[in-house]
Amino acid sequence: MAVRRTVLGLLILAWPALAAAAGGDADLGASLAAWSALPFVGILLSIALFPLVAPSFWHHHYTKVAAAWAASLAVPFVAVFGSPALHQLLHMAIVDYVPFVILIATLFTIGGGIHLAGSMRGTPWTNALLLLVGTVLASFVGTTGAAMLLIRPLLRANRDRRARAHTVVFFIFLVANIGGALTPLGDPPLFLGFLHGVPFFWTLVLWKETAALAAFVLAVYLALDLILWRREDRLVRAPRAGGAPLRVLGAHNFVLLAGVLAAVVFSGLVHLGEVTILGVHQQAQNLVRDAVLVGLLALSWCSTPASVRRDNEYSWAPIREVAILFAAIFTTIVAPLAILRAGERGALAWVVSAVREPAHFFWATGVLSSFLDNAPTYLTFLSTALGRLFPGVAEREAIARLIVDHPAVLQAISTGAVFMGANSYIGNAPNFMVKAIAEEAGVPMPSFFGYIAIYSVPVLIPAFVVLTMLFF
Amino acid sequence: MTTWYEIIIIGSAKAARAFLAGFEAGSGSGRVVIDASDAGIDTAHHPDSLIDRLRTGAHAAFLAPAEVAGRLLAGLTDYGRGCDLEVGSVSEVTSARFDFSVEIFSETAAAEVRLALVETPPDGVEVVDYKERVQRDASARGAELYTPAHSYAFHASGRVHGNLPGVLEVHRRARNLAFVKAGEIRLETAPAALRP
Repeated sequence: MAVRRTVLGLLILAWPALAAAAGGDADLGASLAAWSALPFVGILLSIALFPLVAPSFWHHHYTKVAAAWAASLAVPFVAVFGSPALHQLLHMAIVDYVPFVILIATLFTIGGGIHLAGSMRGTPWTNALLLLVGTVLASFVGTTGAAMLLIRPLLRANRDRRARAHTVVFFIFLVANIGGALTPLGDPPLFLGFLHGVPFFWTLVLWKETAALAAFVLAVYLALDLILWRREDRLVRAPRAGGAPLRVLGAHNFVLLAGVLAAVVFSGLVHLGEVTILGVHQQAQNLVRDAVLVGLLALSWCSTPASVRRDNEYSWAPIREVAILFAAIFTTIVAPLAILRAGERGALAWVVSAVREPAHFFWATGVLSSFLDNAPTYLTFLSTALGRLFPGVAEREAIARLIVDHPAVLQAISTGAVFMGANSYIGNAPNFMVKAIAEEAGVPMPSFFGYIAIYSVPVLIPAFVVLTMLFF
Repeated sequence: MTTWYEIIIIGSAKAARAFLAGFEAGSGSGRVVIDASDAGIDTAHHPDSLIDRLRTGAHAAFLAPAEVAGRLLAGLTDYGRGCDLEVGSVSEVTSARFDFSVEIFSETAAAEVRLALVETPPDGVEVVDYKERVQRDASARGAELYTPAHSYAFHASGRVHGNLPGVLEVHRRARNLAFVKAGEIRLETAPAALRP
């Protein structure tokens, strides 16, 4: 205890000096070796593989694994490069990590306060309608929030059907991934883009890609489900009278969601000046936004009946997971991002020179997003694009120029990250959550490779090829 | 207890099925003869059938109870040659078995599986080498994004063994249960007194 207090005291004493020294424009990216990206690769692979190969170990020890990867970068990084390295880590924490976790926690808490009660019949048209509603909703409540809200009603509606797994898989495609492409609230990669300077409404330009892909996937689902519906038992297909009417409990949370939207839009439109926190410049409007979001979270928590959250099986566990794992991701990503931003001068120059055309960015971001978390993947390829096209230019200015001069590149990175998260169970966080909820409701979900071979490869990959030909 | 016979027919499987349909319609026996390929029965265990398959390129396996088997064999002997069908072998089915395994994360579904496969076997059928493991983890309750673990997991495996009709019935139940992986039915046979 005494040792801990002493170290803490020394840190507090040293902080002003470190912070003052921070912000120097030491070109870390050109100095770092390629292997300094290994902790980042390690944490992403841990998130991807442990749930598959050692789920129980991962469930109980992911905190330690994440801390180990974060320390393996942060300790030597700061020891070798001193204040500039510390500044990079603080910048990532203050500008990216804290707002990111606040937004995810707010959307999850408010979304978890809405419960769709009542009964529906899982006919092909009802299922398709639910998928469509979820797809549209995902851009406004987040893919995780929309998935939380609709997966249980969908499972209840299909309780009596023999063929259910395909409906859950297409739910993952549409609600947990594709639907989140239209606003920064929809999917974490797009919110990270927003935090780095992509305007809030810019993502609306993705409507053509999103509408085309969603329409195709929904049409395939409907055709498949109409065939499978004919094979269902006659009693299941027979119209039923009665049943509890549909009701939305905790509907006031939709108003709070509108508040989230307003707060985030506000922070993108208004400039209230800058404040400096631990040597890091942060926009004042972003702090206002985060404070409003925390207030909305608290309001939702206090105003929503506990029974609604119980019905949704709401818990803080997902937020805790995001907070812990993204602390490690945002710590370890500092090195590869700095290297990529250095462009041809960095140790990953071969990546920068290999990915050139929008189609390359779409597939490179997409393939990695299929198996690694899509939020850091998005940032990685955004930095790759900036490093190649605008080396040495400040990030916000470079992003503004990217949008004007090479919009297809950002569209490709954004859609690649969001859409291709659907390619496997580990591509996007809600995928695994939906799978687990469905299995606990007695739905025999396909295995990891079954999901890819039976659904992703035949349905999504051809669609992505067509998207590439049409848009990139 | 009725004795069942496995009848291997050399020739086109399609023609054999058509012959069987004609036999059942003409004899008024009803649909009592079982086509092994429809019922998930593995007939490749039969050395003769493998050799015959290589020799002729096709075969069919039917399972018939004693009261029908004799007439079916007589019919095949009398009329089979007309459609290039001949009886390859006839064996008495002494018992049948299949292996199953299951992994479920729903207590309700686990109870359904236990009831169907383990607790209510038909007469003359037993579950052997049955192993069951239930894991509960209260910390895994509720939705998780990055560390998905199930709060309840039921793992079981075993072998269903007994007379053919009973094993067929349990196999049918298993095939209707989504989480159960049921292997093909394997037959134990003995030389049959019945001759074509």
